[in-house]
Amino acid sequence: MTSETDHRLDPRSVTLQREIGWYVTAGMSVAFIIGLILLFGFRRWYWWAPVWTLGSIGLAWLSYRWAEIEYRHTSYRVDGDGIEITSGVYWRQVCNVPRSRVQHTDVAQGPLERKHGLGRLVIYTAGTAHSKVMLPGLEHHTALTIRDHLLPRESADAV
Amino acid sequence: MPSEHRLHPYSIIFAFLTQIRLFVVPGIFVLVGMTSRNGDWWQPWMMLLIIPNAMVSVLRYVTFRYRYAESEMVIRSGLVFRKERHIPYGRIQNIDAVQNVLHRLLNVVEVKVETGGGGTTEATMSVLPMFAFHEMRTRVFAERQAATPEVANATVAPAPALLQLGTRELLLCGFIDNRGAVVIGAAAGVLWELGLFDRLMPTLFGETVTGRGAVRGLFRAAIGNVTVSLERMLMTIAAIAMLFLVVRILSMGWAAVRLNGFKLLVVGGDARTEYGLLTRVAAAIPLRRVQTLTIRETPLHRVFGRVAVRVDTAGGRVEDGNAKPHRESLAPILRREALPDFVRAVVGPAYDGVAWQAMAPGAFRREVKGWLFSALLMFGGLTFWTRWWAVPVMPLLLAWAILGARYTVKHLGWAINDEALLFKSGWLWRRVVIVRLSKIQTVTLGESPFDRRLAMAGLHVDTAGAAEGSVVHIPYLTRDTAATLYAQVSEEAAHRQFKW
Repeated sequence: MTSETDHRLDPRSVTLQREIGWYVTAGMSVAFIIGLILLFGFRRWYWWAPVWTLGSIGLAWLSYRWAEIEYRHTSYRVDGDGIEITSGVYWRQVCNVPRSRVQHTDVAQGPLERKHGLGRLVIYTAGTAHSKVMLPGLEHHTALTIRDHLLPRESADAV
Repeated sequence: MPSEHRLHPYSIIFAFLTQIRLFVVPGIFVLVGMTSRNGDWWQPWMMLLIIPNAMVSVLRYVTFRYRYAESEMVIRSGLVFRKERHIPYGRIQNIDAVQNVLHRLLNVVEVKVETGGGGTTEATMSVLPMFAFHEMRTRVFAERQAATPEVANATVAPAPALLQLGTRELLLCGFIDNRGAVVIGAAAGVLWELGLFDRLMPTLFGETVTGRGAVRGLFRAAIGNVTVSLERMLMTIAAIAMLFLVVRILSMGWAAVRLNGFKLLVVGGDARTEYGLLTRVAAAIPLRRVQTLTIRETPLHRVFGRVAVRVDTAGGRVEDGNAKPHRESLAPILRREALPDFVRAVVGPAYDGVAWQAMAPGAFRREVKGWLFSALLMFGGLTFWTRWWAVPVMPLLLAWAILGARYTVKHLGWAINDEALLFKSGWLWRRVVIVRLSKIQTVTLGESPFDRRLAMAGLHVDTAGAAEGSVVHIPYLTRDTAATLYAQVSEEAAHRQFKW
């Protein structure tokens, strides 16, 4: 786990993201229909049905594809110095959190994540803009291992 | 068990006064508003809420206790919900004391203890007797020095003041900072409340688009639609000039009062500032807690050969925009010649012989787009308002955009040395931020789609308690430079422990 190589997230995170994508798509489609009905009334809204269908299919397709694209662009590396997280498709960023600056770490798990056996690593630093660095989509056990690894060993004062 | 201390009995008075200020000032407006605007009948009764509030403050005084344990300060408070707070001496970022006129008459002081955690002051003790404050300072700082033996050996003998500001400098500071606008803003608020605003504004700005207010008349005259008598034009200009002058003078006076007798000492690794004529403030910041140092230079600063220096510590920042106890700059005004020595005294040799690095060659190309865009927006607005008059202005706007971008890029720069990462920016309003390498929390390398087209990247360095103006975000680096710098800074941040 603490090698110098880049790691991908757990592949199941793609499945999770797609599932979330389905829910979002379904929710937005329903909201869109309700909006159309409110706007045009029951008698006319179905004129917009093709737009609605296309929009929903487009959204579904995008969320299906996007999960994979995002997965390909996300990686992390844990070594003795700390953790480095690469993320972002268009706006890419590489964030480095030195281990000596970690205040504390959490592993969070929502209901959907639990279903897929995933965990979300949350690293807190004393910083301002990046006081909370998140790494979602890890296998729960991996997240716990990294958390334990990142726990500050020496009682140095990071502030 | 060490004995417990309590607040000064006068605390009740001060708590009461705070309540009164909270309730009575709006109360007056409510009463005034009732006469003029038919306020609701229940509004004055709201003021009765002061009674439970006042009782709470009495209870707070009665239950508030603090004591000095071996390595921490313990504060207990609360009657129903008991709260016990332990603050290790080593974690205390600074201890501030505020004394307004009444405090000084009664020889008491309001003390604020700040730590790195959270957004707000860790503990506010309002009010303590003066000797208790001195005791707290001695104890906390003595304990801390015991924890770091190198400091104990440092000279604790009274050093000469690092910075002392006379009245002349303070007036200059007020002139440059121009905080008179705050006073004017407050006055405008009062006028608004009293309903005078409605009567004042029409004469000044005109009530509608077709109105005949003085400023509007001037504007129209300048555009050429309407002729305005020369007399009236001059009067308006004079009035505006007067307003600006009054604002400046107010600001100067306010600075002279607020910062009266400003003195900055460095004693045993702590920067101690004292200032204020009416409200006396004494603040102490351990220098090893300084995260970033920011040098500000406005055009007026340059005219007078001065700069302002601020430091950020981890404590005392505010997250959700609540009323922040405004912290003065470490050096509200400083001669340019004294800057290198001053910075050296505060953060060490970080600013000596800085080798500034320029941005990537394509930086101008990136920067100018934003400027051209805003020029275009202005041109659009002008065409809308003045039709053909915008056409001759267009070359001016273009020139401004190109020059602005050029000089902005020219004044961007970064540098790194053994102590710190430095970043300078701004063309007219310049600033230099010095981030100590030992204080860097996270390093982020960012690459936007625009960056990618020109093989560029940006570097963001996060520190604790970074205020708005001291964020380090270096744009327009070549990808290679950014990667090298990123690796170097991450490495330094990971391995560097703070050393004295």
